[in-house]
Amino acid sequence: MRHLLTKRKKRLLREQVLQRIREKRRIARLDVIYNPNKVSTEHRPLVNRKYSPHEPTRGRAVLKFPKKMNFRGDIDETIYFLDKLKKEILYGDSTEVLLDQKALDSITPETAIILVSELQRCIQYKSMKKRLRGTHPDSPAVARILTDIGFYSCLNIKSPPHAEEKSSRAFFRIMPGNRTDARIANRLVSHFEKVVSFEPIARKRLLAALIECMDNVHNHAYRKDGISPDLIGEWWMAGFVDESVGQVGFIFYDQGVGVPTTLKEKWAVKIKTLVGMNDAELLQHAVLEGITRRKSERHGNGFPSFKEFINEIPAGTGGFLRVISNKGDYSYCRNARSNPTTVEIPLNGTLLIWSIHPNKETVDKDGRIDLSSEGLQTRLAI
Amino acid sequence: MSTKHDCFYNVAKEFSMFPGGRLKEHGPDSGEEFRDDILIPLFEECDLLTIDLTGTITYGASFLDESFGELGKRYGLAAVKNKLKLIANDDPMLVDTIWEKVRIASKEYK
Repeated sequence: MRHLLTKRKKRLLREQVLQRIREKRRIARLDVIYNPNKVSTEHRPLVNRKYSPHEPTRGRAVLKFPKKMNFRGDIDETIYFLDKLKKEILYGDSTEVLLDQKALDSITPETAIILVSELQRCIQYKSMKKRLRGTHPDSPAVARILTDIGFYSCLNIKSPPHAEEKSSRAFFRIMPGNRTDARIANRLVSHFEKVVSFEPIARKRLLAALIECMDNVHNHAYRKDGISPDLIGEWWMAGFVDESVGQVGFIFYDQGVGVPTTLKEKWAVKIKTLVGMNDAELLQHAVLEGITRRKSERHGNGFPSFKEFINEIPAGTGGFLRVISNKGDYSYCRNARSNPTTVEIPLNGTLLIWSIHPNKETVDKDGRIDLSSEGLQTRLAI
Repeated sequence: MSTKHDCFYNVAKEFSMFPGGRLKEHGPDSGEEFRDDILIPLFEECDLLTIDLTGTITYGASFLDESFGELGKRYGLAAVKNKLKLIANDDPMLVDTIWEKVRIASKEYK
């Protein structure tokens, strides 16, 4: 009897070992092993030396990507997943994390940027004992978006061989950075001018907004004295154009503490939030009138300048500015009622999206901003 | 006796086509750099200072505040108005924006 049990045990063990070998070979065939030492960006992010990584013990965790990742209808699920991803890689006990993208069949560019930035942070701060692996998505369209947006090149992974070849869209790759440099913003905008022309004043306002975003990251976004795993001063900038309809979108993201958190450092703002002003209303206030945590009137003018680009676009052209930070989600459009909304799970950092659509108004019949009319939100979510 | 005269300075040609952010530590061609290396020395040296802002890609709000705003804080609105002349042929709003920044910052003038 004992002999039989041992035999069975041995067989089970052998099967387990074989299964592990097969999985390793399968992943090797896909050639998607994430390499933490090869973050192929042009600059080196500033790392917080005070942070000490959590040491994993054993096991493997599989993180299944949701079917849809976007900041419209699935915003809470998307933020929840991104948070889960960070927690598993940085604080989880497993020595191996498999990022299973197979089920993912739609992703918007802004989500892809946040995903890339989160992975870059995790690669920088995870324990050396932890290994990151991944699978490619089944959907060629998603593979194409992730390839175009620079997802694979940012992480130094080969792009999937089955990514769709033809697309009317012309993406620009993510541009990460950690200093205020007008040349980078100019390079990004110039790239789009090959297909879409901007009015000279609108161009100036857009560039001013992007430069101000970079400067804001330096001034407010990151806690410099903390022990959190932050890429200090790091920001990600990207954009897209859809040549077929002349649609343009720009995205700016940082992983800082978020605008509402920063503003609440000021007592007057804190009191306002205690009497009922939520994060979204704070963002609205910041965009429309300007608000700062500092005493001087000279500060707090950056945020109002973000909407100037939208104000300068010609009549008949649809467009809006959207700001998501912590629990606030606020959209601004020249001719529409503003609609601050609250998200359930806070987004760590600040995401700004400028989106313009030359042939379509973005205001619905009730005078509200119609986010669904924007390519950034729908056309790319295949 | 110091020699005083009228000065003309073109930002795009002589400083940078790509003005950056607020402080030197933030990146190249910052407002602080422009203020310390160009604006204040010229302001103190010249009787009338004309700054031509035409030709750059843009100016961020922080750059303008750190350079021209600081001028208002240090010398006061009246002194700046007497000495400084601004030209911006490609952005008519820019001159007004700068004067507004000088006005706000001059409240901190002691």
